[in-house]
Parts: sequence; C-alpha cells; structure tokens
Amino acid sequence: MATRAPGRPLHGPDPATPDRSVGAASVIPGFGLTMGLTIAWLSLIVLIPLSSIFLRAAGMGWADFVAAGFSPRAIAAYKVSFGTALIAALVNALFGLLTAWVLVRYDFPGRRIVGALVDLPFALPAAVAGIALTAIYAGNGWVGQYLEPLGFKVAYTPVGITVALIFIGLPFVVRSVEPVLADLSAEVEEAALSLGARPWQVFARVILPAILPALLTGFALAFARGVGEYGSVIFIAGNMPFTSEIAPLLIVTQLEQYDYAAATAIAAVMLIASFALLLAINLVQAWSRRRVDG
Amino acid sequence: MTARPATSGAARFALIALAIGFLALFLLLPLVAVFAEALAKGFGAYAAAIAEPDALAAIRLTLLVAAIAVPLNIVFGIAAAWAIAKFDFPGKTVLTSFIDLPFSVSPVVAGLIYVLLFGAHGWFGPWLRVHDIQIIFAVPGIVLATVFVTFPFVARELIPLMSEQGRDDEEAALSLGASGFQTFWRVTLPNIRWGLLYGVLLCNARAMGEFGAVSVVSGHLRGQTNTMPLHVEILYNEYNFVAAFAVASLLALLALVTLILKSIVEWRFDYQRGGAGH
Amino acid sequence: MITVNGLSKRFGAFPALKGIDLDVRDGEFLALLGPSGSGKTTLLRIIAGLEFPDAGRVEFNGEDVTGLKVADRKVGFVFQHYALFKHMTVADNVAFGLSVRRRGQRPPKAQIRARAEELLELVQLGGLGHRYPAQLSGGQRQRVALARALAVEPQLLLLDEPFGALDAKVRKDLRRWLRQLHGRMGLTSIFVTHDQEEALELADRVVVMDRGAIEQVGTPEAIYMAPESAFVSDFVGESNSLPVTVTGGRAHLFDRPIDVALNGAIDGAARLAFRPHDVSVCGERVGCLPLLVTGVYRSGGEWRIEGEVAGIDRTIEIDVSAAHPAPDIGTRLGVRIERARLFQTGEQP
Repeated sequence: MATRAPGRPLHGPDPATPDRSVGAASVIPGFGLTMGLTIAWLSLIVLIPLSSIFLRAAGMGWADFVAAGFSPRAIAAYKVSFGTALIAALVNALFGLLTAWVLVRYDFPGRRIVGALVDLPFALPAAVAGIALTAIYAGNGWVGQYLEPLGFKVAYTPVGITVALIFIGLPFVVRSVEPVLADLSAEVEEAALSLGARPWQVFARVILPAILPALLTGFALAFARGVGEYGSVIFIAGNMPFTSEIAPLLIVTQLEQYDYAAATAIAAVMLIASFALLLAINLVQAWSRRRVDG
Repeated sequence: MTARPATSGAARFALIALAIGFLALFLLLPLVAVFAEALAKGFGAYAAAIAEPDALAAIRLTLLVAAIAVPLNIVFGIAAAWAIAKFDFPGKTVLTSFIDLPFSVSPVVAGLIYVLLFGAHGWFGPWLRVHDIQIIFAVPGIVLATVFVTFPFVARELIPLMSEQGRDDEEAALSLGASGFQTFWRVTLPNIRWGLLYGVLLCNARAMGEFGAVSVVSGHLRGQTNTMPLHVEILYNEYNFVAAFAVASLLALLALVTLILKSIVEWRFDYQRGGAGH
Repeated sequence: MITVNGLSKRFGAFPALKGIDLDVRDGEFLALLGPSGSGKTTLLRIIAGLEFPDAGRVEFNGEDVTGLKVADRKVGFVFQHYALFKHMTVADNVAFGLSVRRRGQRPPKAQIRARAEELLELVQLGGLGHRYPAQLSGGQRQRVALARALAVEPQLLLLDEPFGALDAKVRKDLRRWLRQLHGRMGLTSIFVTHDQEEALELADRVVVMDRGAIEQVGTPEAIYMAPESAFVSDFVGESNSLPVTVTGGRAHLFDRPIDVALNGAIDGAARLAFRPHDVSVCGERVGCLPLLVTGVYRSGGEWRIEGEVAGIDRTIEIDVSAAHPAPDIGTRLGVRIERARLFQTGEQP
C-alpha cells in the first residue's frame, strides 16, 4: 500500500486514511508482544548465528582469510557455482517467461495441471531431484543414453550442474512474472495495435518493458538460489575439484576435514555475494515501484 | 483467460508446445524417474526398502523435526505478520528483509553457522560439553537448521495478505467491544486461514525435504540422526538405488500431496498470492 | 453532549487537525463535510477512539474520554467499506458485539439471536440473517453494518462516508431512509462526507472543514445561503468567483462598477462570489456584467450558460429560465448579479 502524500486533491472520497497507528499509539493491541517475539526469534535463529560467520572470519586476520577464502581451489569453485547459476538463470529467464506467458495468455487442456507442476521444485526435496536428474542424465539414463553417443556428456560435468539449477530455479521466474503479466491490461496492447504496432513491436515495446522488473527479479532470485544450491547438485555434479566442484560442497569438504577456518572464509565470501544479490533485487523492486507508482 | 490479439493460432500452438515440452523434460521427467526407479525391481523390493528399520527411523525423525519446526514457525510467522502488517513503525522494510534473509543463504552456510556456534570448536562448544548437552550432530541441531531454512515461509505469505486486508475488520471488532484475543481469534484468523495454510504447506514441504543444512549438522548416524533426505543420500552412495529411490518416492509423494493441496487452496478458495513465491 | 477541545493531530509532517473545537448536541445529526485531506475522517476516528490526538480533549457528557479506547467509549462505528466479517453470516455479524461480551454481561444465546433478528428487521433485512455478506448488495451491506453498530446500544453513532461506496440511486434511497431512522431513534450521530448534497440533505448541522481546520458550523440553510468564507462558498453549492476591487462601498471589475448590493464592504481587493441562479438577464446597461456566450446547454428547466466576462480571462456559469429561447454562442449577454457575497483577499484584481 502506498502511503498518501500530504496534499489536497479536490474531489473524490478520502483515500485510505493516511498512515496511522504508529506503534503503540494504535488501538489495535499486541504490538509489544508480537514485535518482541519477532525480534527475539529473528535474533536467536537468524541474526546472531549468521553474525558468527563474520565474527569468525574477522578473527582470522586478513592474510589467512584471503588464503582460505580465495585459494585456487576456492576460486575455481566460485567460478563453477556462479557460472552454472548464471547460465541456468538465463535459461530460466527465457523459458520462465515463456511458461508464464503461456499460462496467463492461453487456455489449453491441462493448463491448471501445468500451472501446479511449475511449483514442483518448491515442493520436491532437493536430494530427490538430484538423484532423479542423475538417473536421467547418466550415461545409461533415459536421456543420457541418447546424448552420450553424440559426445554430449551431461551428468558429472558442469552441464549437469546447470541442468539441476534449471530445475531448482524455474518457478522463481514464472511466479515473479506471472502476476505482473496477468495484471497488464489488454487495453494497453489494443491501444498499441490501434496505433499501428505489429504484434512483435507490441511485445518488445509495450509488454516487455512492463514486465522487465519482474523478470529481472525472478532472474536474480533464481541466480541467488542457484549459487547456494547444494542438495540437487552434488549427485549430478561429479564433484571434481577445479572442474565440477561447487562452492557449497567445498564448504562441506573443508568442514569434514576439520578445516573450520577455510569453511568459514568461503561461507563469508558466499554470504557477502548473496547479500549483494539481495540488495540488487531490492533495488530493482524499488526502481519498478517508483516507475509504476510515479 | 482468452488469447489476446497479439498472437496468431500457429504461433500460439508453437509457444504452448515449447513451454510444455520444456516443463515435461525438466520437471515432469525427474518426477516420473523417481517412481520408475523405485519400482524397477518390483513392488516387493520397494516395500522391503521402506519397511527397513533404518528407513523407518529416518521417517520418524523427519516427522518429528517437522512437527517441531513447523509449529514454531507458525507462531513466529503470525506474530511477525501481525506486527508488520497492522502497525507502522520505522525500520519496517529492514525487518521484512531480515525475515527473508534465510532464503538467500546457502543451506550449507545455514548448517555451518550452527556448527560454529554449538560445535566442539564453537562459541558454546566447551560450555555444552561440560554440561553434557549435544546439539550439533544430534536432533536439536537438525531442528535448529530446519527452523532456519523454513523461517520465512509463513511470515512472507501472511505479511502481504494482512497488509492488504488492512485494519478495518480489527477496528470494527474492537469498536464492538471485542478483546484483543477475541479480535484475533474470531476475525483475523478466519481472514488469513487460507494464506496461513498455504504458508504451512510450503514450510512443511521444505522442513521434511531439507538436505543441505541438515546434512552439515546431522552427523549421519544411521537410525539416529538420519532424516529421510539424508537416508536417500546414504543409500544412493552405497549404490542401493532401488532403496534410495523407494525412500525418495515417499518424499516425492509428499511433494505431490503438497502441490495438490496447494492447488486446491488456490482454486477452490480463490486465494490470490502476492508477489513471487518461494 | 460531545465536546471537542483544541484537538490537534499530525501524521508525520502532515498536520491532519489544527486545533479543532466543536460541540455536538444530544440527538442531533451532524455532518463533517470537506474535501480529501481536510481532516474530517481523522476527527471522526478520534471521537470514536480509533485514533488518539496529539493535543486536546474529547468529552462525552462532561466526562473526559480522550485516553479511552474505542471498546470503552460505547460508540457505534460504521466503516466506509463496512468492514463486515466475510466469514460470518449476516446474523453473526450483527450479534458479534453481544457475543464477545464477558461472561456475566453476555445475554443468553437465544436472546442474542432474537436481538440480531430484531435489528435486521429494523434495517429492513428481516429473514436475510443466514446469508453471508458477499451475497448481499452494497446497500444491504451498508444496512448490516449499521445494524451491527446499533447492536451494542451505543450512546453515539459514527459513520465514515456512509454512502461513499454506493451507486447514485441506492445512495439517494438509503439517505432518505437513514434520515427517517435517525428521526425515529434520536441517537446522536456524526457522519463524514465529501458530498455536499448529502450533508445538506441529511444533517441538522454541517461542519465544513478544510486543511485540518473548521471553516464554518451551521445549519444547511446557513451554510448554503450565508457562507462565511470563500472556501465554504466554493465548496458548498456551485459558485462563480470574480476578482474585484472595492472602493467606496461598491465593487469594481476593473474600473467599471458592478451593480450589486453589498453589506459592510471594506475597501481593497476582494472576491465576489455568486451562485449561477442568483443572476438575471439585463440589457447593456451600466452595472450589468457583459458576458460573451461560449456555451449553452439545458439543465433541467433552465439554460445553463457558460460565458466569458469581457475584459478578464474568466469563465462563469449562470442559469436563466428556459422560457426564453437559448442565446446563441458568440452573442453578448448583459447579466445582473442579484445576490452575492464578498470575501476579502490580498490578491490584486
């Protein structure tokens, strides 16, 4: 809800009453209780534990931190994680947009089932997706057996990682774009058509700009999720250091070798990267809100 | 939902076919593969794999963890949504982003933070050892990690919903003499029940299916600290594919039930969700 | 009697109310009239106890209730969008206030049900108690909201834009009905509206508000016929306004005197305000306002004529009897202002 700018429009009923009920001054009870509970729970479960990473990393000293967090193996793992996540997010941006378009614009038998299926990656545990994808794309798998003779290896390579991340990230794009696409008024398109625009011009110049913030948000969400993804990836990845080892796996490996410092340093780097992404997403959303609400 | 003037019949058919083909290859095929692999050696082998004691222990632990984590996050989610949606205060946006934070943290990192706090080398490690309390590599650690990764689900479903509903209904109830609790129980809760159910479904699916975070803190003790997803991993790494897929198929069934219930909530009760889902 | 004293309220940097003083008499039907942002809804919500003032007091019958919450003030509040509980039947909505009372004060179930049915009869919705709000029309929902507010036997009834969400026809019927209902029950009532017609038709007295302050309080007749400020004159009813200079007790448009009766005019710049029907057509005499006709259309039994006042770039609207043929566009018409009010301004004519 937009808060109302103070001003004096001359006609029409009062808009939703101006921002009121500031904290405890409201007649609605329970602010102290719910706010206290929220902050306590948030601090205990999220904020304090997360800060432990940064405090530990800060305690390491700069040289040790760089040595552990940016070792050649770690840098290779970041490249794998960010590279595959980027490609997967791009694929998802394209096919997610297509899926959202088809779901919103066309009526076809089974549309509701397709719509429900899109959320499968939210509901299917990552490990299950991981072993299923591996079974499909392994050399003797349903799809792998046809790709392998063509010299195209998916499982146990970065391509396999990308496939898993496409699976994981798709709903983020579809669910971001879908509501915006559905809210686009048909009149705007008809207006463009009546002004002589060709259908592809209507798409490129009227529809795409309108859904771009949502598409970017979905892309960034899918990318962020892909960078940190673990469960669905490790089965299909091959996990060879320097080629198909993702950063989250490297953290686990370091932990198993009791190298807490290295695990912490890598985790700190990844946390900073995901916070930067989160910030980017918020900026995109703020930008689009400003653009739309004026 | 009618086709708008922008696309011709042929283009429309091609787009639908392309979208369905993509979804079938990337989403449907893995789901089918789970059940096909699970039943590859017949129903007998499938049933035996599920009835195996370690598998049953994993199922029990998964249910236990969800039974603790989900109610905790329901209480938190409702409290957070009430505070954020029904009141104005400075720092509201920051608080909302903090609640979303666990979504942008890698599950592995989520597990690691609890190891750093409660592990043998962690801040509270020595104290915990003296008092003989085991958190990491035990059930409490699994619960903590699960609570972390499922933290935002209920809250982020309820915050936009309750903000949109505004304060009129609550003010009306209060003006008619209802107490705060009566207002919540008799007016607010019925208004948000479908959104709440929706959030709980997603929260529960994630709680039962979480792998990365739980994997870091569990210790992988068969029959003791193995949840279903971890049990799947162990069986798979032992090349016991039928058993791995059999246990996985139970989780896939959970996913299907979740999707069906979710669709029912959406269709029958016309429940509109705001923004991007997770 | 409700007394409001020195009430102020800010929302952030926005002053919603600036020192409001107001007395509401027992049994009267009072309208708070003003444009968006005038503070009328905020004033209503503070009287209800849904909002609390930064400064000032609210008294009910001499008792200070400023700090009391809505639940303790015994007021009935009808919300603009009704705020009916969607998941409850109409009867349960009406019964809600009674059913949440503490045990001991709560009437037995059968009695609550009977009371709800009785109230639904009162608002002419007898027999619809089993329905849900979604199954009712807008006007019916409005009446359910009213019945629900009355169920707790309030000492004061507050209505926020009671007809705002209804279409024109329903609005008119409901207005008349509410007026009669108030007459029968005699319950002190305050309602907020931005629709002057509504305020003038319904209220015993009208409070005209602008930018967080009261501009005028008076009977509808006084508000319409004797507006005390340029704002009230503009906002209530249709009004034309001409920039004039007053010298020697006469109004001048430029150098030309306008023939209109003024009482107590002080020399200086002023605005001359008059209603479209407070004019007559006259010839090209001195004192008549020369008007270049730019538009004519029929408005009921009269011609509504739009014209430019010669010499200044200002369009005014006047009504003349349709007994005469309509003047042609482009012709000149002499107009005499029969009744006008003068408001001093600083601006140069």
